[in-house]
Amino acid sequence: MITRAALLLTAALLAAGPARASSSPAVYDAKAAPLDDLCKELLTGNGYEIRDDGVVWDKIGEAAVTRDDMPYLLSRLASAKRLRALLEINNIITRYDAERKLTPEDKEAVRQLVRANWVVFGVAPRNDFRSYFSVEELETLDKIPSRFDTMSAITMTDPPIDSVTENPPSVTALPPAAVAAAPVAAAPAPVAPPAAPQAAAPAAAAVAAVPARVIPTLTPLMEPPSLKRESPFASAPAPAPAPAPALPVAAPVVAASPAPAAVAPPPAPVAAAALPAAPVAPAAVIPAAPVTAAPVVYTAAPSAPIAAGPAPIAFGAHPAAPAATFRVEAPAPPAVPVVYAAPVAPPVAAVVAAGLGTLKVWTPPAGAAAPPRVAPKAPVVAVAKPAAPVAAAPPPPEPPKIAAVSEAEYEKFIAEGPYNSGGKAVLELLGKRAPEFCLPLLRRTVVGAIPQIVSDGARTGAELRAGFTVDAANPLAPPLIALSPGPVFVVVKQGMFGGREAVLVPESTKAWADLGVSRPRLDALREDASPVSTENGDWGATRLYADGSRRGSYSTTEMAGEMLEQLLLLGLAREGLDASPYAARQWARTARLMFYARLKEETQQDNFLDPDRRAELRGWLDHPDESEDLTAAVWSGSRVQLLDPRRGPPAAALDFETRQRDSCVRSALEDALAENARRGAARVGELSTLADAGLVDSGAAKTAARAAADEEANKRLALIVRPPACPPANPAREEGLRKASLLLTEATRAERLLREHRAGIENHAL
Amino acid sequence: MLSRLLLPLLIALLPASARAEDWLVTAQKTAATTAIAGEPVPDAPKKDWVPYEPASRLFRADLPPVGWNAFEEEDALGTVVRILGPDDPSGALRASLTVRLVDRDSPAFAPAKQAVEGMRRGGPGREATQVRSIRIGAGLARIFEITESRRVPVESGVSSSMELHQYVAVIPRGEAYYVVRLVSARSNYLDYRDDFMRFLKSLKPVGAR
Repeated sequence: MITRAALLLTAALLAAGPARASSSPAVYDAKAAPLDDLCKELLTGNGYEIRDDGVVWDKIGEAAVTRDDMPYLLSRLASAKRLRALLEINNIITRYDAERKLTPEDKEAVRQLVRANWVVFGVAPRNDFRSYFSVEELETLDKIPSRFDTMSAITMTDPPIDSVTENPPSVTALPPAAVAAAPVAAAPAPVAPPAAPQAAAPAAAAVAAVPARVIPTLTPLMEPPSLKRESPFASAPAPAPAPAPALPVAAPVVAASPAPAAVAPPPAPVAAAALPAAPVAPAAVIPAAPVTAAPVVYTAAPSAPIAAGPAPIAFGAHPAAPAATFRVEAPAPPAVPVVYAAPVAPPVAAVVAAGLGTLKVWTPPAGAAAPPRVAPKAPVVAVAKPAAPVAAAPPPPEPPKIAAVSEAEYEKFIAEGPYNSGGKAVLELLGKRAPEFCLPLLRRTVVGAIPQIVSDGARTGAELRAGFTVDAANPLAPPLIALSPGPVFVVVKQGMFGGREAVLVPESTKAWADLGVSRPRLDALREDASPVSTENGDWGATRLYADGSRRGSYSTTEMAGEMLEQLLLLGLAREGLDASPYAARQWARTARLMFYARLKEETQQDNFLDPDRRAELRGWLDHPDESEDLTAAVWSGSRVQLLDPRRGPPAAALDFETRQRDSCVRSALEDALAENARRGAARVGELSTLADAGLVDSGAAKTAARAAADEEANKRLALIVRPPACPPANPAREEGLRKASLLLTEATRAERLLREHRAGIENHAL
Repeated sequence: MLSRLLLPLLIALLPASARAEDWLVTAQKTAATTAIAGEPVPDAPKKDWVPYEPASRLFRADLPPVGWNAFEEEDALGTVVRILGPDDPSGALRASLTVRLVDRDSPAFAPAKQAVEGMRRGGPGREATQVRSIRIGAGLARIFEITESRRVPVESGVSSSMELHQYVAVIPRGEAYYVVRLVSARSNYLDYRDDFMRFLKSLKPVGAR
């Protein structure tokens, strides 16, 4: 009887079981809502078991995890993982006085820890450890969205009550299908950090599990970080490395490229390759008249690296500008345009131009057949109705397929290419002495674009030393890089008690036309004027003219640095990396200054630079924070305006532009008004400077300033009456700004390495 | 008699006229006050200084309500907060206020005293004033001024020499220290003196790394 009663009771209890279970919180079912790898790792590594039936069992609490608790649990476990990683990193770093003194082994250990926990790191820890990774690595890591970063018990909201199947268990966990579709997992993995394969494993699992954004990789630009070069100031030239190890990272990138045919073949077999479709430019037609009057004699190109001494570099030297020094007395011929190169010389018999040297028979490599070019930016078209809908943005222009160019290929191209001895010497020097971080782009630009390089101050635009132009109407024409042989200036007295200072003026007539005044009739700007005397001063060998105007001369070494900057700016523009002019200029400027710093270190002197560049280099080396602050102040002024104060650097600009979309017409109007006002302010400011210097008649300056003000007012009125159309979303710009941000990171890293190196030297000296 | 009365008035008005409104502020105001159908009307600019704290939580300070744009960036020396103010009438540069925290991880780190001496080191066309101390919220600030003659802009256009002025404040914080610098043209640096001092007095460290 008792047995029967017990059996009935047991049966009753068993029958009641499901009913109780249904009334309790729903147990999480990993079968219905699969967990991704990161969630599994967090759970199984912390005392939870994922059973075959989908129940997540807490082995310590001996209970199944409920559906409601799962997001909180995952967040807590991720937080613990993050905390553990930070403590381990802290243990390593606190062994040293400063983070920069970490040994390579410990640095690698930190890298591994950060990499393994990157997915659970939020914005702040990620920023803290960015300096441990190369730009390529960061590019990959940044594709991993931070998970569980903002998830906390305070901010967490209850999950919806509807089906667990439809909603992932945590805020970021993805079903396997989505995981498989994540583009990161399918990406060709352009960056393969060689030093931390084992640490990359969990991170890779995390990468594969996250819904990464599709971000085209920056493979054409990025090379291995400059870490591989131990010292940027090596006293002896490094022996030419074998081609294979020269580009350890670029090699797989090329292999992964969908267009392997774009790889520039070595110049040797190029002779048999098809001729490029590029039109033949009038290579030898660059102003030839003055050449006979003052033939340019290129001295022997230095095959050896820069040696110590007063004149270590001598190539394409102007007779009035002895290489690397301004102090040598020399006769000064009139300024003449000098052609350094005629890159698209027809592949016929040798072209001989008097005074220009012999241009060899040359056929561009196949990779350079059609120089890729960035599509010109479409102008914003004003519409009558301010908020008129605008058609969807056109697809972003296809980035040029540009192959990597190895050091050997570059050297061979220079040796066999179209450049004459002067140009070759400069390009060889750049290939050997330019900072490592910019070398891949430099090589690609020279070999791919084959820019025409001329020495003609009238073609530099408003720039005082060098400038590049791309013919928008004829995209197949080679770009032109113009170098000024020397500055044109007048010496004026500053104030009542001030000293006499030089005022430099641009030579380009267009620059003056933009100002609204005619170019001053200075003898130094006239080709037929003869100097009354020559002198050696701050601006090198200087010709003094009867009206008091002067023309100095830049050293060829300085011009090499200017050419480097222009080539890099050109390369960035060609590859669509100039979305932020500030980032592009900062990147190229860093390369130029590092180039100058290296030459200064090797020659123990900086008198190859003009006074302004010398002051800039000294400030950059000795007072870097002050130098950067001044640069930012000047670059944000209306006359330069590389740095928009409202936008800031690329990352901040991206945020700014995203915010502005809420009121896009007003934002577009503000942009247009600001640009209009900036032009007016810049013109008025420059005219005021000209009037103060006595270069322009005060009446003419006043008239031009009034015209500028009227023009600005009229345009402002027109903009207010017809505000510009709401610009469509432009994914290419967003991507460009992200890449620009990476550019800044790369330049920052290279500069930091140099400064740490210098600090190390100074400490040893103590 | 009338001229005696008008003269002080004229002198009092001079600084105001010398500091005309920045073209960027004018453009922003114009855009904000233009009636555009379907667009939300932006909030009116605040009258009083507004608190500012960068994302890095380097510090907290007050900024003028209009005309100064702040952003943060990472350069080779570490994190720097730049606050760009009005453009110079010549258009050559914009008044620029920067804040850095220099610590041992900075590649150019030097102890505060040496750093101050290094910054004050003179040269051709460069002079520095004596250091004076002033108590502010963030501690005891060492303040000095630097004047320097530089040609700006150095790259393009008509390039002429210009007298630049810097207010520099070094605020020790343990071994590390803040460097606050205001760069402007010497011709109008007094226009920014009060702004600099008020900013400095409101500066407070939050959670420096």
